[in-house]
Amino acid sequence: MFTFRPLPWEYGIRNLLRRPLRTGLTLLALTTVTLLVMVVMGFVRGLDRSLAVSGDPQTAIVFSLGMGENLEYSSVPMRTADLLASSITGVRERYGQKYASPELYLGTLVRATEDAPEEMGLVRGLTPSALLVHGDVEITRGDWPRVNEVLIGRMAATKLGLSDDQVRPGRQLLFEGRTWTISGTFAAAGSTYESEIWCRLDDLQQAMKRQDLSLVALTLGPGAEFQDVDLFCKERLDLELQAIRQTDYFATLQKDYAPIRWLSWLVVALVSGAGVFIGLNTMYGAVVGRIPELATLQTIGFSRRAAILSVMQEGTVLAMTSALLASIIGYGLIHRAAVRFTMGAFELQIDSGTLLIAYGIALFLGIVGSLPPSVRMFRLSVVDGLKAV
Amino acid sequence: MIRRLVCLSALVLFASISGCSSKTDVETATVSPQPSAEGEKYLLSDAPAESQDVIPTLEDVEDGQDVVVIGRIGGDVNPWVEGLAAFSIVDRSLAACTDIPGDKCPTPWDYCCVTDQLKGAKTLVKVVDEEGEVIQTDARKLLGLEELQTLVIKGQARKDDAGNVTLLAHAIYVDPANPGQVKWSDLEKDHDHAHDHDHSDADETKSENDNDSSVPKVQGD
Repeated sequence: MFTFRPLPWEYGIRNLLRRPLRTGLTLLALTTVTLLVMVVMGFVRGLDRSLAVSGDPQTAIVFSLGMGENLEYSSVPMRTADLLASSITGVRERYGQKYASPELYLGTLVRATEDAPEEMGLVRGLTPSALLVHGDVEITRGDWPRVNEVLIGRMAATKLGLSDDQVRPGRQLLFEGRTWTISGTFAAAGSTYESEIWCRLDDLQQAMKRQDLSLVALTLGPGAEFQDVDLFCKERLDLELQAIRQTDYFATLQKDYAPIRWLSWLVVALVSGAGVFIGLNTMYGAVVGRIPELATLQTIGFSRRAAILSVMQEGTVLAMTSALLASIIGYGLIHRAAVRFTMGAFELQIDSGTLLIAYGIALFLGIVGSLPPSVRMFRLSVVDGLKAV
Repeated sequence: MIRRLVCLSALVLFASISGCSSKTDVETATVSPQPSAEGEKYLLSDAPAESQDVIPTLEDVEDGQDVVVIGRIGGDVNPWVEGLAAFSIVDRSLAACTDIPGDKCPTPWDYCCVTDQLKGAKTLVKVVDEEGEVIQTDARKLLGLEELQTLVIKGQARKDDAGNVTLLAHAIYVDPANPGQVKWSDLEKDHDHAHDHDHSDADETKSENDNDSSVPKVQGD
């Protein structure tokens, strides 16, 4: 045990370079596998992130009773916002302005021009108080919408299948029988709001011939509790309201997407499994062709363990190089790529978590892929190995 | 070698499948919640006499009137007010999903089968201390309550200008028999769902019940 002498590090590296075509093809296959894992992981992480950052624990959403989590179908009277703000103690206030945002929210067909195809877009009618409640929102271009104008979320173009040029300020969108001019764009720290189109509440109400709201978002001040809002809704049965924490609302959405997340993990497992077999196949071929060489190494005094370690070193170096290549490609081409999804759009996230998992899988491929051929080598006697010339 | 790998994979697969499906009795057993020491003083050992159901109470009660009301916890997916000793109760004549044979509703206390009848049959109960303040402990922890339990509330009614009635409970009797729906009402309306759940068994049971005169008729969809 104390006299264990491994093969020199350079030996394994040189062996990889001795067969450039085989090494190159294996590298390509492992890079593809790792890249696929990264894409799927980036999808899961991006979806999670967009929902995770969308909620504020101090913000409550009040909407109509019996709607489940379907805010689009909710309808509450216009006076609800003022009533809630004045009745519930603890609603945050700044310079006399309560953090209560009346909102009309719907999914509707949107198009860029009269003859363009329609796409389902998410439209939210609100008042400037929305900027108090949705604190992460920042107008990145243009201004807050005036009459018949809309503010476009950073991801809305992806959601609507439009180019960036089609949603720049000054361009127009058509929905709900009106032509709306884009007044600017906004970002919201990667939340789902970024896939929405925002306009003035009264404009949207007029366009839809509605006088009600979908919901009221309330931000509570320090020391105030969500239970105050919940208690009010349960006590004032005549209003037929219910309240949910904004974080809980997005958590329920996240729960709805759990099957997709599980499916993504299954894809990761399948792709990784395929990768293991690619590695196995290649390493098997590599080792079988080198049995006499490895037997010779044992003849000149290197132990079997040293030979196996060298084979595993080759596999691991190859796999980790592929992971490095995949992360360069992934970060350069895939990171923050916009993806359309049912509830909007989000960006793929090649973040530290994704990289960690991808590198872990690559390491696993390298080690596990080298093991079976190494074990086969173990089972051959040195004499049989030398005879295999 | 390959044979060994195949055997190992099969073993791992079998272990994972059997690991997922086997549940011990300990895991599936449910333990009834117990009231806290603070909550014991609000619980009555005997049922108060002459209690009134929720619907007649809501129709007749005056603001500030002393009342004894009987009802079942529910009326919402979440009938509790988190962190407070407050919860909703529903008139016993309304059928919770558990009262409908074969219904597999995961949240039977929300009365999703009779949502249209909940208005005027549901009220909020607030357990209050000597100063009339709501106790700042969740009712489930304070009193060891669960959804769909039948309670007799002794307290005072508060009625606002809009006609909303809230019961300020001073004492509560938890019916250990928990009889469920007491009056089999004539539910003419179809199922109005706030959420989806499987009614296949309920439909079968209903069609069987239609031919069985001994079973009280309760209409689901």
